[in-house]
Amino acid sequence: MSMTEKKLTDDMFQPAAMDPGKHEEITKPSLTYWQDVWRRLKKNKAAITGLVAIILIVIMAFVGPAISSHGFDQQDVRRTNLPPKIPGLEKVHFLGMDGVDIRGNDQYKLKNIPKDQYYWFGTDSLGRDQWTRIWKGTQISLLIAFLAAAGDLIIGVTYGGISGFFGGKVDNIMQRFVEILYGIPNLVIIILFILIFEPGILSITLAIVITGWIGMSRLVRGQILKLKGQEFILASRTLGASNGRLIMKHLVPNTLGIVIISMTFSIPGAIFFEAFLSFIGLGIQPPTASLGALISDGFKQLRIYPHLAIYPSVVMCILMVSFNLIGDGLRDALDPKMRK
Amino acid sequence: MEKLLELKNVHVSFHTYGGEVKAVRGVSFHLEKGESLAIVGESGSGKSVTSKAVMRLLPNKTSEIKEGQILFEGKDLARLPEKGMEKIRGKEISMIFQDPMTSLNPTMTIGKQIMEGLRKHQNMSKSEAQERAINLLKLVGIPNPEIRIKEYPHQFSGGMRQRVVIAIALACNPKVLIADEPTTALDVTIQAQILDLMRDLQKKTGTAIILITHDLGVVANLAQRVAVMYGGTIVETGTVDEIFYNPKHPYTWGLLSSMPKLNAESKELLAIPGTPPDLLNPPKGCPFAARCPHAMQVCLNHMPESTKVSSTHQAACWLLDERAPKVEPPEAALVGGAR
Amino acid sequence: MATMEREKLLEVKNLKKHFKVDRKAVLKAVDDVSFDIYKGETLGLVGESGCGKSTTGRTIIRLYEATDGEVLYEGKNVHGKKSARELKEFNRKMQMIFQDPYASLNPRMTVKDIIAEGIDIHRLAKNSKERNERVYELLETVGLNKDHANRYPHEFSGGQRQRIGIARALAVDPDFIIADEPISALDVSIQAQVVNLLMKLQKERGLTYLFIAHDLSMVKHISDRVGVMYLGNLVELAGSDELYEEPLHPYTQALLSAIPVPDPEVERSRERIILEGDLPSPINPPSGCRFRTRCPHAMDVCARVNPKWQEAREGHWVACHLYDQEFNKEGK
Ligand SMILES: Nc1ncnc2c1ncn2[C@@H]1O[C@H](COP(=O)(O)OP(=O)(O)O)[C@@H](O)[C@H]1O
Ligand SMILES: Nc1ncnc2c1ncn2[C@@H]1O[C@H](COP(=O)(O)OP(=O)(O)O)[C@@H](O)[C@H]1O
Ligand SMILES: [Mg+2]
Ligand SMILES: [Mg+2]
Repeated sequence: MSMTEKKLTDDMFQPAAMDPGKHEEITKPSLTYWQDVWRRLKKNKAAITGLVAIILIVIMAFVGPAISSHGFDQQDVRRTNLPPKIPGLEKVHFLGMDGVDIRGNDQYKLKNIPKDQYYWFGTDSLGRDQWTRIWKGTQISLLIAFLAAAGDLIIGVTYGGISGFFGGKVDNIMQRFVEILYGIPNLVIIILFILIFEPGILSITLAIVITGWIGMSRLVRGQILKLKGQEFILASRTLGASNGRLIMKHLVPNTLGIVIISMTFSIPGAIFFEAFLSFIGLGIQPPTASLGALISDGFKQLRIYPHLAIYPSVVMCILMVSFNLIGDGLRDALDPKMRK
Repeated sequence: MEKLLELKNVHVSFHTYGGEVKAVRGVSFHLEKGESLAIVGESGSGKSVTSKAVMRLLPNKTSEIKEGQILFEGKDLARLPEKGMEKIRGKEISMIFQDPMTSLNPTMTIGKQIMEGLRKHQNMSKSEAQERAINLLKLVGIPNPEIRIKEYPHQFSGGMRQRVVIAIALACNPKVLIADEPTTALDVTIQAQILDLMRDLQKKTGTAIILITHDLGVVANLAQRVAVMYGGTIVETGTVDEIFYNPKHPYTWGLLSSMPKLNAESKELLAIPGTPPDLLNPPKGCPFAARCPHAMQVCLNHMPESTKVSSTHQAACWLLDERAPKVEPPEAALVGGAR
Repeated sequence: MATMEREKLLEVKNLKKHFKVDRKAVLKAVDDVSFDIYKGETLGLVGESGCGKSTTGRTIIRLYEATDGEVLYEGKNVHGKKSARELKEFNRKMQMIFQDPYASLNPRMTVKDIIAEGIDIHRLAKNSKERNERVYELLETVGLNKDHANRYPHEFSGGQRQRIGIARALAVDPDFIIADEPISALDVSIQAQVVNLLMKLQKERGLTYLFIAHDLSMVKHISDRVGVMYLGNLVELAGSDELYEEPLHPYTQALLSAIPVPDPEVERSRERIILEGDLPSPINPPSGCRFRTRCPHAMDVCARVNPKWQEAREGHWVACHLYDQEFNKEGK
């Protein structure tokens, strides 16, 4: 106290001129909502790990097939079921990257594969390079997942938006239809759908979308119903805003957040569902392969050639976990209650 | 009088991703046996955080009591382990919150919720506890307590729920009751009922009350002493009469003059310009300086010390320094007797 | 001053607004309410939450369709079919300020776009430069400045947001503003800022207000006349000084005595009328006079007959049997 006492001089007791404009000054830097979300997301290590993993996998899905010299559908009966062998790592035996199978035989020697030929993830029962096939498969899986998510988005948002926005009778009828659709077990619908159309990327995507959009539409409808009564919508209506303006300027921007979260969860759902279809034989048909198809094939020989199932499974697990991590991170980042 | 609870220079901070929020910055006050102390101030001034610090109800991951002591009957609650705190919370000191909707468990009957504390702290048998619960409901003015004890919170109106919350808080005859904006969510007619009830109960039970509010009318109605809080600090304390009739801090003046007075002829309200300080970057000097019409150079850089006005009345303001110019409170701040 | 020859701006006649809550039950949020608002005045509307104040305001401004009754603005019916042009014209004359400073601004829009919404809808600016200028002018009017234009609502405090809401309403140059509890969510020191701003604007622009609130002392301060609502009915309407000095309806009396006064001396010596019990449900309101279940002066007739809405004194309307010669012979 005595220290500060000394420093206080009489002239400090003169009135300080206050700038009245300063009262309303905001010192914090201006951040848009999305900048703020990104700032929060960046702090979430799990979500960022997920994001990096997904970016890497997407890059590999396109670059991977090119950096190996083997085509994904090149068959060669002389080199079937080779275990993985990677230059450099082949010397570290316990990694299992030395071309030796689980019974301890060096398959590369037995099958007289030239010394300079490496199959990084081995080959399958038709002698196709597994590395190339895994990344091709990732491509297909991601393609299906993104298409399905886009389908969910378009149908779900439109349907839920109309239903919620107009309300009343329209909403009533639309919701009864959804309930009926939801009441039929979706496996039945999907299997029928794929049986009628040939299994292919498009038909599988459609099969996933045909029931997948319901979740999205319910979410959007709920959000719109909630927003519709909010005072900023009422304010806009008293100003004479048209429906189009209400939707484009007010409702859509405020539903975007939950739509994005929902999408990050529906992508891994679609990947998983496609894998499931492959398992029951309704997936992508050879020679094209998806991650699910590869796992399904490898699974049949899991005891003898485990590498066929393990590598695609690992890629798929990383994908699913990463998408879920991002989804969780986004949910936290977009939560307005955390805003400060 | 005996000091029941005493806070000495308490600092509380929150660690948020934006940085350290210094929500409470050196709060000191005491509570005597059986008295009622009101803490007033606008939202964000740190009233709830202070009371939660006393109850040790702050989230322990993101917040900490950085400095200071909270003395309750000689024990420092700020440093007490959780085990010891459990014996005090709800038994010696209890708390009621603003929103009667969320402070009751919707899936439990009212009776069970009242009896929970009784059975935990006082080892009562079930029938004893039930009898006490019925008596408590009677005490807080709920008709037909024998029947209502078996009902769920949603079957009660807002005012009735707040009565139940008070009954729960009083169940173990606490020495201190902290009421955090107990009537803010209620309508005036219901507020009048609850304030009446609280005054009545205090007479009957002798519990000391800390009443947190932003409504000066409620303060005048219920409190004996008042602490005015601003920007995480206490700027003025005194008896109600001192605060209302002889206020010394410009913020208290501002509060008093921005209230319309029912019996006064309509004159313009004196608003306090601007907004409260951001506690993420609190000002170095007096927190009110930026909005104060009498601010001096010294206010901007030096935190004012608490100055004695009378044995019960203190204010933290540089205007009370002898070197400062003499300033009279604005006309609009004068209440009733002071005019 | 209340009863001078003045021009009526708005007439509300037997207005009803009922909500269907499920197949059977009907919630009579506003049930047969009549009052006038004169040009340039402020009419206060008070009552406990849930008594139908907001519903009245929102029905007047067409956010809700009226179940029955009519609202005349400058002699023209507000409800009923209208051409798009008539609607637009109407939207510019009548505006609303909302209660919740957090919910009443779109969190994804900049302050500039929020304020300019009316300008955009009604094409009041020829180009973006003119639009900016109008927005800056409005910001100044409400005590903010153009540095705030490009920020988002979450960066502002409650009082600042509420002023942004006022600027948005002013953008279309309205004559009549419905303020639905514009200060309830604000701190005392900030409330005064907003009330002073509203009063200043009224003086400068000759605005007419319907000011809804549950804080009676603020309402008295800002209003020329005050109406008191209870469970969907208007129970009393009078000049604000008269209402506060000589309230007639037992509910008004109780309401006034319940306000805590910021004066310890007065509080210590004050006799309160403490109302028993809670507000009954508006789905199943009491028969006759709706206040009778809590009224300290209830008579037999109150359960049977709806009290008439009548002028007990000049300019002082009340709906209570105590002031009805027919039922209360001895007079109160
Ligand atoms: N859990 C929390 N995390 C971060 N900051 C908080 C938290 N709780 C309160 N605060 C901050 O502490 C300050 C005081 O808050 P509070 O005590 O609730 O104010 P009031 O006086 O309205 O009760 C505010 O600035 C608030 O933002
Ligand atoms: N859109 C609605 N649908 C159904 N009931 C409503 C609706 N809006 C208001 N109500 C009901 O009408 C009554 C009056 O509400 P309101 O006008 O908001 O009251 P106040 O503004 O006086 O608090 C309340 O009981 C409320 O629950
Ligand atoms: Mg609080
Ligand atoms: Mg309302």
